[in-house]
Amino acid sequence: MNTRKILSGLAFGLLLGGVLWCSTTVDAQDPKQDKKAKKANNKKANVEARELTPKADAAMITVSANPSDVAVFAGKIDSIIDSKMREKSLTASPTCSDEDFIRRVSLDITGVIPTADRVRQFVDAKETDKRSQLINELLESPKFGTHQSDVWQALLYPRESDNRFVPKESLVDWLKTTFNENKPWNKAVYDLLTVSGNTEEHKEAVYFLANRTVDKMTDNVSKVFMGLQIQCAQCHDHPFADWTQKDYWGLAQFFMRVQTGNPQMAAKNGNPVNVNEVSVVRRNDKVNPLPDSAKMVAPKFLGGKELKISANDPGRPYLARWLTSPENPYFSKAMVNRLWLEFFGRGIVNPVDNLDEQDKSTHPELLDIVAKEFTASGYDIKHMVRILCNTQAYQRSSKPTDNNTKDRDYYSHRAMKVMMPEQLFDSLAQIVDLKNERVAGKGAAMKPVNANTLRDNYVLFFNGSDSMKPVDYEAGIPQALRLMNNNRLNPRSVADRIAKASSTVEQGIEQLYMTTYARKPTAAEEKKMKEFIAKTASRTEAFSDILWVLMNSSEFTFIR
Amino acid sequence: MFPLNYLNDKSRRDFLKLTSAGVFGASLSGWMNVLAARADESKPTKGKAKSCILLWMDGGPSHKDTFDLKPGSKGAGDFKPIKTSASGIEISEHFPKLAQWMNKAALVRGMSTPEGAHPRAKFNLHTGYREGQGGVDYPSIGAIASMELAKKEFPLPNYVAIGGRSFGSGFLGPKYAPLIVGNPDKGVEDLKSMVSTTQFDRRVGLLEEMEQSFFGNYQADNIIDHSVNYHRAVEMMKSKEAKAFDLSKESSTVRSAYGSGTFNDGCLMARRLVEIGVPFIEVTLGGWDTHQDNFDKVKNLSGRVDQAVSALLKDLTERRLLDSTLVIWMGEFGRTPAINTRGAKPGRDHYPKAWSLMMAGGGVPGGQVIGRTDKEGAIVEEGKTSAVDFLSTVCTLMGINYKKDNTTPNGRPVRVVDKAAVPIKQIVG
Repeated sequence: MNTRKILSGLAFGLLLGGVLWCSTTVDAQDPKQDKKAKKANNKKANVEARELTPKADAAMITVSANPSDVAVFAGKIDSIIDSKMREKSLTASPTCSDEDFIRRVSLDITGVIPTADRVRQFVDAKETDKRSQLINELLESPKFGTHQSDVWQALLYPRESDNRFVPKESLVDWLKTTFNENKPWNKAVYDLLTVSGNTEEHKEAVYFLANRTVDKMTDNVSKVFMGLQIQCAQCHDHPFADWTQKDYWGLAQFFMRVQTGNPQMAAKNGNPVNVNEVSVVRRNDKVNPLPDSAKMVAPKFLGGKELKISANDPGRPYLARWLTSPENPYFSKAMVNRLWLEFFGRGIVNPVDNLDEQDKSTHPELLDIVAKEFTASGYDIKHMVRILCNTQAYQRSSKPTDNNTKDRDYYSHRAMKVMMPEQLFDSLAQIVDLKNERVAGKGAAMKPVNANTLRDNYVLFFNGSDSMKPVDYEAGIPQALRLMNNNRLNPRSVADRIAKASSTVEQGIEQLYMTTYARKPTAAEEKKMKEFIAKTASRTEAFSDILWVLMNSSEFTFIR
Repeated sequence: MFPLNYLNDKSRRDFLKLTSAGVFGASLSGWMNVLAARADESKPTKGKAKSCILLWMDGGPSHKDTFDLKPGSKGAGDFKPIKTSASGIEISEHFPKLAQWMNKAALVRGMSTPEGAHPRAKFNLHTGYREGQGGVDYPSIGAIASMELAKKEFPLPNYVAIGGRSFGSGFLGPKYAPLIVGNPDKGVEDLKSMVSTTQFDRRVGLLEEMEQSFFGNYQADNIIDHSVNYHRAVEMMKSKEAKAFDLSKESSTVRSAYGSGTFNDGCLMARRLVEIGVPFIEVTLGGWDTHQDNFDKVKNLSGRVDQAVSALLKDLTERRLLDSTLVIWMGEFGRTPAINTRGAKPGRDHYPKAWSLMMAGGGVPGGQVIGRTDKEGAIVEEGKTSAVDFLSTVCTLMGINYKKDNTTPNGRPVRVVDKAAVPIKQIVG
């Protein structure tokens, strides 16, 4: 590293009062002048920009792991929920059946329905702790990481045209590994926010490529890792919460010196892309321009103090240290509230990125204790999932009782969730042996974002907005048409196989139900299906009709 | 599609009583009347256009070579202007048939927008917002029209995109996303059952029973949403309206009047969809990104537009549908007034600062030009129109309250068209 460069960078910073970020102001009034200023700034940056090494006082604070006993802590959650139900004079629905449980927990943890064989094995098992064992087993499946990567890529990688050349697969790989290896969440987020280097060696660098402008990064970090929506404060003080423009741009400063390579050029040349933090604000008009609303202020932690950071000192580690510190209440709350949403169909605080309004939620004290446990466990995600799935509240039937039909808020019966597009695709694929082949794009107009495989395309076709609730059924006519009529989902050959392998009609019907619903038919259902088969000329045809009906029914698409 | 999601608990119970004969049964109609009455209360009465056909010129057509010619300017190019049926209005010589319709059309020559990259510009012109702005996924004008103008008991999606993907429904959800028709000559993908009608009906009958018993057990509202959606999809498959997607029902005379190709077929399909009452149809013609070989390409594309769009306007007029159908011809931006120096056959590059679009029918007063560019076609000198101005104009013509707030799933109010919008006075009156 060239000393003269370091000094000139330092001097540059000192000259401007020690706060590097005062080095430029952006005036949106006159675009011409704005462009000129940006150009000059970029030119200067070419001389002075260089990579920076983080200081020791910006390192992550490690937390020792002191997790509670899973059953004991699950009991604590239940007692809070139970007392709230008593207050509201609600009676809980009974515990769900083993069949309901294995389907529910398999979809929730591994993102796919269980096979018929696995269901039988589980139902027949005699151990009293077999549900806890199953939860542990599912958490060790690599599909846990796949499912979490489906949940998280939607959060970290906006589906925007700007990202069509950003290699999503790398981020997905990183997410899978992070969740499967159960990397402590504070470590994962610290690494994610401070990443430097190219996307081949540091796959998480894709996060910065997918949010290339400082405002996108600021919005995303506060929304995803703190559960706060501060984006309105970008242009004016927040209308609903207390956030000011100063808070917003104070936080944004931490990302001002991040430089990313050009993903389009890299994709063209087959190169990895670089992400680095350098000594000056340098923004490329094409790759990651400064937004018009940008304000240059001192860097400031959200709701916290201002900092002075010199030019040769990278800013992101300070932010990451503060964000992942056990002192930061939002960090743990944001994560456990998201996990709660995944497993219970609604957050403790709703919407999940509205932690400003925790006191208005139904169970504010519940979020406090669950978040505390997450911190105490050393940010152990699998531990938290284990706890949530071991609660009585999670294991209740979704069938309402007379007394609790209308309840949506107090966990008296389990919420009826709708499969995510990924869960639906993987479950259908398991039934009809659908291969997730690569699909050629039909030109730019047909392919607005990275969607290279059949699964990607399917997900794009079925996807709603990122902030849809897990209980909302969002598909429209085109999606129903595809499920009913697309030849890839033709159930015929599978139905034939089941018909041939079953020695009795009853056995065949049971296998069809187990394959799709993960349960045996009721006596009434069996009777109805037998009548249906009797009325149909060919048994294999009748079997394929039944399988089609099961695959297209609510009970299949929903997580009961 | 009707907004069952927005019904309260009591309405849902009423719904179930009304549909005791089954969600796939005919008894939906009783409920539909209730819904329709409710919808009518909130629907504004102004606005003549019942349908909109957006002819999307993908890639950004050169304004100086289509509707805003500048003979004698530095980058004038090869094309000559010709007179039209509207006195004083001249357009490209490669629109001879369309020229006869200019007395019914308004040319907006003062479009000026902020985005110069294709996807971002397309997003901006379809939604009125800039992509990524405020972390919200904004719905396109098609999705908004689909939500606002949904008709009772209408068995088809209210938003159809032909020959291109168009833009989605953003935070409004996939219910309002377009039905995509890739190749109009082949009709709608997955519209036909894999099995015989008898077998399909047998399946649907059994499905109906299963849905009812599942709802009976679990009572969750989203089960109704699922059942109603399937009901509507099945109804669409069986409806006579779905025949609108079948171009083989048209005579060879009509088909040849439109010319051949996906876009030409798409215009014909759009007319068929308007006839049965689909409120928003987008038809895409790609190839306008003429960085190179601009003049040959634009001449060729203009020929296709000239034939298909004039046939469309003629058909709509003869069927007395032009007054209630807004036809818009546009792309995502214009192209540079100067001709570039790329290779042997030069072209023009992206230019969002000044460009043109055309509107006809749907109550648009014809025979007028709105806005004026300078002699190079580089700067809007008078009547500057922004993306939100344009979209608020479209909304007003269609009777959609563009000042209304929609709500994102996390509770944020977002205006249909953003605050700065001023509808074009010469068009909406």
